[in-house]
Order: sequence, then structure tokens, then C-alpha cells
Amino acid sequence: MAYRVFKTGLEMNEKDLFERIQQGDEKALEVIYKKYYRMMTKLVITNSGTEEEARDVYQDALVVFWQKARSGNLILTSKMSTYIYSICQNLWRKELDRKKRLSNEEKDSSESMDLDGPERQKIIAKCLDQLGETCRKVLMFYYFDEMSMQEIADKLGFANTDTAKTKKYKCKQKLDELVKGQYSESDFLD
Amino acid sequence: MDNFELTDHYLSNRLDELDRKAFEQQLAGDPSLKAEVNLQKQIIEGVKQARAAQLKSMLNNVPVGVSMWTGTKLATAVVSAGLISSFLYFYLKGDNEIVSTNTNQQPQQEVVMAPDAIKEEKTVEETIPLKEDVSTSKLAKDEKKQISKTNTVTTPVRKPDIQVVDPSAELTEANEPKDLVNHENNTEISASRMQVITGISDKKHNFHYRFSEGKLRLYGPFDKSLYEILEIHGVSHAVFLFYKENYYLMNEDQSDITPLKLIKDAALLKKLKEYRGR
Repeated sequence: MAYRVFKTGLEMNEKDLFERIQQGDEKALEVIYKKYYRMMTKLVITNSGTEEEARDVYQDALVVFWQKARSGNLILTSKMSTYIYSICQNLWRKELDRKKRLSNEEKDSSESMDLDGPERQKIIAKCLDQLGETCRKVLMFYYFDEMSMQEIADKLGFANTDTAKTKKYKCKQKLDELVKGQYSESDFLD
Repeated sequence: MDNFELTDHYLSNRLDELDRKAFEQQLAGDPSLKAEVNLQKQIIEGVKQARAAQLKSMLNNVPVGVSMWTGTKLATAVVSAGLISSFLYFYLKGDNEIVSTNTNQQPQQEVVMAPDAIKEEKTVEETIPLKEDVSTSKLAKDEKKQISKTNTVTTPVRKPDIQVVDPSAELTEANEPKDLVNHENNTEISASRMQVITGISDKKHNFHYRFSEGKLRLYGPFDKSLYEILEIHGVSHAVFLFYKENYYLMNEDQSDITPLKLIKDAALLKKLKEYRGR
């Protein structure tokens, strides 16, 4: 019996997977990613995209899908794969439009693009990195995944929702402090 | 609610319609509050983007090259246990819960051969990305042949049989797992393949397991959730259950219904996570 196997025993249908996503199971997202990888990337590759662009679009689409599913506002009226496919289509169409615009634009006009946004996001990302792992998770789960305090408490092993609430409050205060410090340093608010 | 909380709820879509309108009115007449909301909006946007980047990088690390990893059944794949097997050997020895069944085997051979097999498998797939698919079942068979050869100390010469498959077949989801299942019945080492039976539970046995007739029976809510069976074969042999972010050790000699035992050993958990993450 000297063979080595990694086995996963359950047959997961779309409904199961979607439920797992709604519950915030990142492993289920990975399963979906693998499951539809070829189907989704092919869409971009056969529409004048590179493999890298295809992967990027597909990953972005899944992130959008994850957030929508997690927010509880998404009711699937079609197959999950059809829905994800349509997100991929939209994202790739947008990207093609953006590329087209860029190539049509004069060089000097593209320089006038607003560079503040990405710069600010970089500052915030840097501040976020200065927080502890738990703090980062609390804030990400709260703002991006739109988890309730109960879900955050369950996911991160807090005693109760009050602990989650306090934690979130303190983490946010800390992040605000850090960002404001950075902003005034670089005069971003002027 | 104070303004800090109101702003936070407003920006994270947690205000109801009425409160939202009231807050927007307040916002219109208060420039300093408006400035604060704008700043908060940026910060929250930053947090969201960081999370999106985190999810993307998680997906980026998911191996997609080997077709065996895909499919509704979450798939069966062979991975190298070289890294973990020696660790397990000592862990299990110390624990005395599972007696090693393979102690007289040559560990070196174990460790060296399997990674090569995996590497080759991936290379085959990666070098022909445009051909879309390497037959899952063929690979599965090759893989298993390879493994059984490992036992008999034969150097395997692998000639993966590549078939070009119409990718649109993937749109009909039933195909792949069906092939996989059909093929499983023909494998050379079918006797040692583990079948898992779920959907059984009663009042007394709601988080239990037992091995009987070469099958693993799981008692509890397992048919509803994602679970995984990790079977480690190396210097020693052990079976683990992964369920709801926890790992449980299962003794294959256990033919009585037994409660699932949570693994708490930090070092073993770390190894299992590494192993599972591949």
C-alpha cells in the first residue's frame, strides 16, 4: 500500500459550491477556479487576449463573484458558470475598450490622467500592512466580505460579537490614525 | 449612533433606506463631515482593494495545469508525500495510535520517485497548453501504474498517452467525473482505494467514523459540507479528515464506530496544511 493519494471525497455540485461561497469558504472558491479555468480563460484567449490577461480577467471575475455572493444580495437565476462567464465577458470588454482608448489617445493627454487614486491606495495598503494579521482580517471581512459581527467572531474565533465589534472599532481607529499621519505627511489632503 | 459609526455604516451599506437619506441630508449641510466621509471612503476602498488582491493571489497559487485537479468530484491526484512522510513516521510512532505498516520499506526510494512523477505529469500538460486537455482517466491510470511500480522497485518509463479533447466538453460538467469514476473501477490497485460513505448519522453517532470492508464510513453532517480525505503513504501510512478548517486523525484499523479525534499538534497541523495546500 505504498502509494500516495490526496483524495477529496464529496461530489460537489454547483449548488453546494455556491452555498459554500456564500458562507465564505475560500477553498470552494479555489475549487470553482480550477473547475472553470479552461472555459473562462478560453473566452479571453480566443478574443485577442494573452493567457496572462485571461488569467487576470478570470481571477478578477471570481473576486467580483465572491463579493457579490458573500453580500447575500446575489440570487442565481442561471447556472453559476454562466454567471461567472458573463462577468468575465464584461470585464474583458471593458479592458478591450480601455486598450482601444489608450491607443487612440495622444501621448500628452494620457499624462493628465489622475495619478492620485493609485498613490493613495498604495499608502492605505502600506498602513494596512502595519496592522496585525487579525486586524487586517477583521477589516477585510467587515468591509469587503460584508460579514456580520457574528460571522467575524466565528471565523476568527472571538468569544462573541462584542469582542468582534470592539476589535473592529479599535483596528479601524488604528488604521485611520496611520492613514491620516501618512496623508498629512505627503500633503495629500491639500 | 455617533458620526463615526454613521459614516462607517453609511459607507459599508449597513444603513437602512431611511437612515441613509437622513445621513445624506446631514452630509449636504456639513462640509467637514463630508470631508471626513470622503477620507473614510478612500480608506475603506483601500481595505477592499487589499482584500481583492489577497483573494487574487490566493487563486494565483492554485495549480490549474493538471487536469486531474479539476472536476466536480474535487478530483483525485497523486502528490509527493516525501516531505511529510518522515515527519508522520515520528509523529505517529510517538503517538502510538497508528502502527506503521510500511516500516520495512525503503524510504529513500519513496521520497525520490514520486516528485519526479509529478514533475513529469505537469510538464506534459504545460508543454501542450493549446491542445486543451490531457485525458484525465489516462493520466490517472498512468499515475497509479507508476505508483504500483514504485512498490516493486521498478524504474518506471512513462509514456503519457495524450488525447486531444474538445474543450467544449467541459461545458457539460457531467463528463469528467463520470470518466473518472468509470476508470477507477479498472485501476490496478483498486483493492486499496478508499471509498467514502457519508449521509449516515444517528443520535449517538454524529461525528464519528469507522473502516469496514475497505470503506470509510463517516457519521455526521458530511454530505452537506466540503470535506477532504488526506491519505498519506510514505514511511508510515495515515488517513486524515479535513473538515471545516480542522484536521482529524483516523485509525484504519478501527472497525468500530469511533469519535473523530481533532488534531491539535501544531507541528503536524502545519505539515498537513502544507500538504493540503499543494
